[in-house]
Amino acid sequence: MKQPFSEEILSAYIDDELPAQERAAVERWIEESPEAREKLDGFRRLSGLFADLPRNEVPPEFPTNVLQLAERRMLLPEARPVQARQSLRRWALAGGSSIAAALVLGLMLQAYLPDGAPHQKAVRFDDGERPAGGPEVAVRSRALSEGETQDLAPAVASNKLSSLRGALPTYEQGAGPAAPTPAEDKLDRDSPESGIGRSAGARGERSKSAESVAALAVISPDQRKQIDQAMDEIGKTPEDENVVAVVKFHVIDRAEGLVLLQDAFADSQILVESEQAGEEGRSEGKIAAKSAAPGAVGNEALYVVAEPEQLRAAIATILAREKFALGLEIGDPIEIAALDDISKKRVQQVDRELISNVAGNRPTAPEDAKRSADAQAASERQKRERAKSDGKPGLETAAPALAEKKSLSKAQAAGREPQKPAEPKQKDNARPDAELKTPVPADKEAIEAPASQARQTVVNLPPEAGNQRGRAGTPRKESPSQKSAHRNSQRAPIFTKELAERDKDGDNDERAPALMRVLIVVEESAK
Amino acid sequence: MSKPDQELIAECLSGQTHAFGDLVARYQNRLFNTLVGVLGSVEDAHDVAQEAFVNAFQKLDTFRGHSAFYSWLFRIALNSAVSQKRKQRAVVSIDAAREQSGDEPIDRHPAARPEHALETNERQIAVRAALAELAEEFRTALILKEMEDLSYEEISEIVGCPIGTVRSRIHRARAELRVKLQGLLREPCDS
Repeated sequence: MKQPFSEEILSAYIDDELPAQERAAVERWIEESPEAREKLDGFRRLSGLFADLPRNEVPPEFPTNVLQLAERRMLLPEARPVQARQSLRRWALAGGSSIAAALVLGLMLQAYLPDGAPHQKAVRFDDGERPAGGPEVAVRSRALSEGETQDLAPAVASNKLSSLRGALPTYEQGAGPAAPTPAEDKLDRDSPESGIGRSAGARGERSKSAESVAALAVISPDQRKQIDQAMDEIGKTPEDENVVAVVKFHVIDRAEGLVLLQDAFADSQILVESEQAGEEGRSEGKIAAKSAAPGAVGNEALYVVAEPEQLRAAIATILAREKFALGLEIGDPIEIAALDDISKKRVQQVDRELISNVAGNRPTAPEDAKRSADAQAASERQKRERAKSDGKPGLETAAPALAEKKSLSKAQAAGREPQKPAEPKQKDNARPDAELKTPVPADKEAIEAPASQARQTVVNLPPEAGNQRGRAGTPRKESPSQKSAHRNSQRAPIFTKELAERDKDGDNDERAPALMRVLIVVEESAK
Repeated sequence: MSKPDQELIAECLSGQTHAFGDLVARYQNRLFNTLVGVLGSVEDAHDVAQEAFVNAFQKLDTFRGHSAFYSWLFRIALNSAVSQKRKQRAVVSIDAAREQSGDEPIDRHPAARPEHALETNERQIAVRAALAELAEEFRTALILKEMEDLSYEEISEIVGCPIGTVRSRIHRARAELRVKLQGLLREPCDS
């Protein structure tokens, strides 16, 4: 006997998606037909199976991660979208560390800046310049006059200030701003605006608070352009290991500036490398940076090798702090040969280690990443143990030790307990679920993640390099060292290219960007 | 009392970024669980959900309010999920189902097919595995119905097809699942 209604109608019936008349007819059919009742029962039991499926929850920090990633995208519009599981790990390694750098540097600068810092202005992206539409997003601040400050809409200004509180936003459900950490609390003194989403109130009120909050700034379109140009210029530097690009920061206090720069890069996982290792090495680097008496002009510079994204984020963080960095300039590339012996040795040490890492340990595809990271971690452990038994820590130990220390200190600075080791997983197979149910904070990931490839070391600049003047974004005349570099590039080993060849399947997805080498010079300038 | 979506969106567009955090908190678990069902992987679901929220944040000024924010968000998420799956050529497998339960895989031998999986965990694994074998459009429609209890109209907005197509997809998904899970349903196969 032909059925009066199809199964599809029956399916729609249990979903309550039939018009009243049809529904009534179907109900009559169900009453009369055992077969219809059986089919209906089958559909209902099927629905019951879905009801039994477990519901997962995202980690509590998910909203904060989303907001931070969104703001980072606004800051770095060219940053590639998050791709699959790369995102979590790479976020912790590069992106997360950049955010951490911004956060830590922000806090450091807040502490560093004197009381009564100038008023701020939160700068709005012009419509045509906003990277990808969406809401106004404040990424940094810069010190401006009170009059300028008052030009802003309160809501926007509030957002700027709140975003800048820790350089990037955090989110706590239902509570508006997150509870301040001790460090944040210090920053919040006298300020009624202590968190994301807190209304600024009247303009006058906001201006008053602006007086008491240390210098906060946004990256202006001009600054972003300046960074783009700087990155382009760095990218144009001949691919020759004997030549290195030069970026100059003009600062108010050179000695302090160099230390802050060093920390900013270190917090971006651009790890400090020096002849001394570990804690000592880092201290030595900072002492070197501080050795120039305030007001004096020293000749130390930072040799930095990092991924472009790390560099960009760190430069943006630094440049945005107008109280600290007055400007950015591209200098002429210099030859490594022009450095003194100690500096050359340090540069070569960094280069050697990076090449060695790339050749030996660097993962070439996401599926190999964990295995390689484990191998690298084991290798680092062995080195540490070997160095410990020798009573003299090896140079290679500085980076992971520093990374671990910094991660811990960041956690401490944020008022949190250092992360305890993760609970052993019941089964390896249960990894993704377990990770989500027991979320691992970014700091924890940073501790467990393989050490960043990026490095920095303090070098002494040749006297003439400090006097070479360039201009951000303008083509440089080819200097003798560049000419030499062009010649050398034909025969010298090109390790930036070597580093770039990691995208084995050519889909441009899992490729880590090539490392950039740059000498960061800090010059003292009158404000 | 929690603010309506539109109010939070307006606040966010006026510069109060934190308002978007409220929206994320409101929908994160719903979106995440739906994506777990669609993608078959907790980790992928997490990444796609995160990406979807970020995209939504960036495109928030294009949201006209003609549909619910939730529908709009899901549409963004499903587009991200589809493009990710294409890119990864991901195969939602029984391994993925196992990832979600944290349990050992069921035996792939015919004698150990879903009809023999009676324990709760095994039943969940069997359902996930059967879902994974459905065509993506069928699976998505059915999950939005069964897990989110969305109306056909809402589903049609999210997946971008007519209501009749949604009805058909849901029915076909159920019919296929009924065959795959006949052991669990203790129902004779009638087709």
